[in-house]
Amino acid sequence: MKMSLNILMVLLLTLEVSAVDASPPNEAARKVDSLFIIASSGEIKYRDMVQPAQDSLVAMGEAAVPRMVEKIDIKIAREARTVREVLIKIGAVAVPSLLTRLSDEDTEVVSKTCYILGKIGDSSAIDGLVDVSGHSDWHIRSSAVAALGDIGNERGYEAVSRALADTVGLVRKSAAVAGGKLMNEAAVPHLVGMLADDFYGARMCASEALVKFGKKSLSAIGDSLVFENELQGNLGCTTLGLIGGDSAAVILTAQLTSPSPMRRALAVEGILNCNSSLACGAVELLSSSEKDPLVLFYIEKVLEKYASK
Amino acid sequence: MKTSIIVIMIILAFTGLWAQEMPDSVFERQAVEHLTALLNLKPSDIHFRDDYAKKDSFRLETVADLMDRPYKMIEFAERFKSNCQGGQPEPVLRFVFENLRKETQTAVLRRYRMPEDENLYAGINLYYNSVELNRLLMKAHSFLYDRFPRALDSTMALVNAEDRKFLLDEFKQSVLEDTVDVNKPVDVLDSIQKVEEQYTKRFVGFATKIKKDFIILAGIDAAGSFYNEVMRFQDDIKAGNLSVEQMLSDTIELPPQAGIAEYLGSHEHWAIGGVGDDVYRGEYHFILDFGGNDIYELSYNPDSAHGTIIIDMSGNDIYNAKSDFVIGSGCFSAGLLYDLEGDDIYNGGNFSCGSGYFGLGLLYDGGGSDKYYGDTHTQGAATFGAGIILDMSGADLYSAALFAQGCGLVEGVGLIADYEGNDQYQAGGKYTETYGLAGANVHYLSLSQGFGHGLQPYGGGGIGAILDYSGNDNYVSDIFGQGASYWWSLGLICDSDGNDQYVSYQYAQGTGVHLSLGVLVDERGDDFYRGKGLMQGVGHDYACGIILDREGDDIYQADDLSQAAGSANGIGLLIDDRGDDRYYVREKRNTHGYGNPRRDFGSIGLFIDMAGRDIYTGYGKDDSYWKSDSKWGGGMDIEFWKTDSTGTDGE
Repeated sequence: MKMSLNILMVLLLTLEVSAVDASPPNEAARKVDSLFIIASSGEIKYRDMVQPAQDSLVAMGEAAVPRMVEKIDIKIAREARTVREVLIKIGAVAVPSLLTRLSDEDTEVVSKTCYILGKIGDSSAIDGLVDVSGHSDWHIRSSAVAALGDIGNERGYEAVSRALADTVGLVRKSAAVAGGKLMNEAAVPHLVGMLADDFYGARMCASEALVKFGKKSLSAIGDSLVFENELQGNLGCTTLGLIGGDSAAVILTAQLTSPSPMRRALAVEGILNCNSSLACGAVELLSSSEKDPLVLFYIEKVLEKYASK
Repeated sequence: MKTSIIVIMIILAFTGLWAQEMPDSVFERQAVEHLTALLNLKPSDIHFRDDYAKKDSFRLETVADLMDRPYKMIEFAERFKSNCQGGQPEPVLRFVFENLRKETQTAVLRRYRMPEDENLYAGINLYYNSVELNRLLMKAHSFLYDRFPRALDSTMALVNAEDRKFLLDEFKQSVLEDTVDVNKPVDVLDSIQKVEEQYTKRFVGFATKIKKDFIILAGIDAAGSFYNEVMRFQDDIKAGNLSVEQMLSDTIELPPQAGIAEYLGSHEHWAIGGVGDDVYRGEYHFILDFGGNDIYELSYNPDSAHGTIIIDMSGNDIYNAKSDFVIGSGCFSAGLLYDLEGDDIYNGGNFSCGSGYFGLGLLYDGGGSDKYYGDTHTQGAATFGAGIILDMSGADLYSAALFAQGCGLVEGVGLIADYEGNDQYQAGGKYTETYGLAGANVHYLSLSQGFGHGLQPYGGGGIGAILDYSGNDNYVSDIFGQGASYWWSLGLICDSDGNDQYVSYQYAQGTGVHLSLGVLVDERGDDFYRGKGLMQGVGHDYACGIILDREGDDIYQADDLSQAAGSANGIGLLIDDRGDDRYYVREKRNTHGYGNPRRDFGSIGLFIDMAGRDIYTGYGKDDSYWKSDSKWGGGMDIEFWKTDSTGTDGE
């Protein structure tokens, strides 16, 4: 009943709003504009009408696309979000119109278009996205690569692979995320290298991607633990812990003798997360000589967890 | 022999270093390094690029630097406090001016002194015989009719008359809220929003032509100069070297048929009052009042902009705003108000009580327990300028609705520096928040109390600060306040001493929102922090918020997304150095070192308690480390301050 009332209110408001609009280009555009005002309203008193208005826009389907695509350049955050959400829900029929905006001069428009294309997930957008993945603007490169990951088609891998070495951290981050979605094993060594990335977003996303690769990434991570970069090895320990299992736990054991207390602590924590009691003995052995309070803190947790085993 | 002396000197030097206490900031930094390493992060990850959004020409250099290294907000807050110590207006204003430098600015005016007009005093007839009084009046005449107008000409030289008028009409209107908006239908609200966006675009289109430095520096020169004069007057009167009655009665013999208004001190819009109770009504350029409980009913016509200087030597005075831009308010000019003594009441409206709107506004209150009331853009608020309140002592009340109490808007620094007394800061309660930021319940926008605000996405904002040096203070705001900011700006509170209470509903207490920065530093006292969400060290959307409490047994209460939370690629830090503290939260999942993902990657939340027996609800735990189930955050509560024989070893 309440829903019906809301829809009725939306229709009434649509009529009311339409009446004051001076010269709309055509009937469909006029309807889109009217619905859009309500669909993008942030006012709390119109909150119940927002969703029905958005649903009405989505229900218009292809007819709403040209006008909605025109609105991609809107700057007000709430309205921009509405544009995105509606076009994503309209789906594949919006892709041809969206592709035309990939050549827009406004870099924000291109970037937003990439995002929408990625979330729609239709493979007909891949070529267009690959084309802009080398754009001089990093926002566009990042969005294009992320979109290629969202679409999840192997045809996008080459562009993603290139982006793993981009000069901008946020692009590398998008590439790492996309790498974890495309699951091309050729990306693993790059992702392991990225555990030392200067940008935390890229670093942590590389770790998450490697966790998705699971056992396939174990040896590459294990090899990297001896590298000089402390951050890379430390995050490698954490990543191994998140991959888990006996093999990861065994690799981590070697790190218990590291001169760095932080490395030892993260290795013990990794073992804690591995859900494998294989390395428990090595941790117990370490407990007799360990002085660092942080390492001891995690040793205690490991011993507590595996005591019954 | 020579070698022995060198060795002894080295030993002595080191002994001296050991004896010298290391600042807390060194250990805080070590703690941050320790926790970030545990989370596979590093301190340099507390950083934002400058090009997430399109760069604009309004970004302040200080904000840009701090966006690059947000952790330095703590150091900046300490520097701000240290530079404003003492309460003399000129050093305070010079520091404020330094921080108004724009990121893109290549040339900076350090001092601005126009050569005095040779004919400036040509037509002046002296009325009083007192040398001291005439010196003050001549100075006022010089600033009001020569330096300020010429500085304004330089400031607005490239701005046409239409745009100047736009600043006083449409743009000013877009700063203000309307209580009736809440009842308007959706299409009307939508069109209002569109119109305001057009105003903003128009403003951005020409505002870079406004060279505010000229008028601000002229105002600073005047502020420092009159402060010195006024203090000298006060000292001489108190020491009996000057007699007010004699000064005011010792006048020249007026020639027959001479108009009194032709004489210095008797011009139109000027008034000089004695020690009795006086009433001043209307638009004034200059008032000098030597005492009594006075009433001021002040108005200002911005269409014929002018400087205003008001000096009240003593008495319990009441200042009532009869228009915008009065009571230590500079609009296209400088407005200076010095009230040296007494329990005063400042009834301001909009753009009042230490408000700089394309100019400089200073309200200096030398003592007494005062009450400050106002609406919007008041009590230390500034747009393209500086708006300052310096209150030297007394238990003061600051009450306002919006953009107030240390609020910096575009190219503005707004400041309240309160040096003594148990003070109350209240902001909000008038303009309903209609976007549901705080859920369905009725709450009010505050945007005050150490708050920075920019014009998203067109222009970076300013710096808003409260520096409270002592006393048990209460801070109450609602939505946005208390060391917080919105869009490429900085909000800060630095409260040095006292058992303070901070209460707000949302976006407060060391919170940055949308590419922005907020910091709350409380140095001593048993403090209480309370709010609903997005507070107590929160950064939302490429923003950073820090709350640092150095001493005292403190209580922190919040519902959710608080107490060291990063949201939408933001960064939030909570650091508590010492004391037995209590941390209460309602939601365990997004507090105590929490980060949530946006744009396919996480945020950062760092929670650090360095000493004491602490009590928690939520993730935190005394004598423990933890990593929250989030992307990415965690905390530690360990005894970081090892006390050895020197008492200085931190780790």
